[in-house]
Amino acid sequence: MSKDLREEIRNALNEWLTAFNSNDLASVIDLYDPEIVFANQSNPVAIGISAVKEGLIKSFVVRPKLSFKEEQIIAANGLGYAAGQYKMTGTHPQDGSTITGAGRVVAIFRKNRDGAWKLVFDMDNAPPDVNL
Amino acid sequence: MNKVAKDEIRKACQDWIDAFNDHDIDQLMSLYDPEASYSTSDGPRRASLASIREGFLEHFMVRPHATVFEEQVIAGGDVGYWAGNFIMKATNPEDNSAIEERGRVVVVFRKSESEDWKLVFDMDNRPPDVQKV
Repeated sequence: MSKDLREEIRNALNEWLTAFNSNDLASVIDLYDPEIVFANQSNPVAIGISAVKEGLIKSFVVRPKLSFKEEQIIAANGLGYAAGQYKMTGTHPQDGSTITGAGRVVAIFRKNRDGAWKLVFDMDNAPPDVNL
Repeated sequence: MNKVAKDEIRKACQDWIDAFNDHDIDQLMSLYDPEASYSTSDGPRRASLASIREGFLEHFMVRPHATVFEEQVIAGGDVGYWAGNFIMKATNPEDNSAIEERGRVVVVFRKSESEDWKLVFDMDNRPPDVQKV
């Protein structure tokens, strides 16, 4: 497997994390593939950019920040993924209390015609061995 | 998108389901990539073939049978994935009571040097939209 391709996937995820942690809706949305599927553990599956955007708008109410610990990256020409653990912190908008969550996630990226990696599938869960 | 590659991913997924439902551990493990990892929602991550095999042998004690429903298939180059939801039915070996689980799953395949698609990543969760009967 090409180390360069793995690095491209790592960069694509880092770019997504930077946009998400800035709560910058337009920048996050710009990083999605038109066929995005967001398979969140706590909500119905969101298919397509408008459904994902609606979920992000709700998420950004708590001003979330994500950190990520890589466990595996696999990539080929055209498709690749990063899998690992995440930790989320946010702030309750009404009482200012801290909200936290943690789990495991996979982010699958597809290269578009312009050569840019776009997020096409995102799934998370909450297994017992997460230690981030 | 390449329909041939998508159909190859579908077939690789079906081969996995068939081996799983037959409880054929050797056939099942022959479908895995050497770097495979399994990230289930209700247990620790399994990051080696030996660990994945051990998990299946434990799971086969309840004689599981999985039915899957496709939601998305994407293939690009030598990597592709199948995503969908599943119903898992099983039997408790102690009292023969029925067990049923529903969830969503993604399985990623990578083409081997011999041009076979091998399962390299498997993750599931239990979201509310697949829990309804």
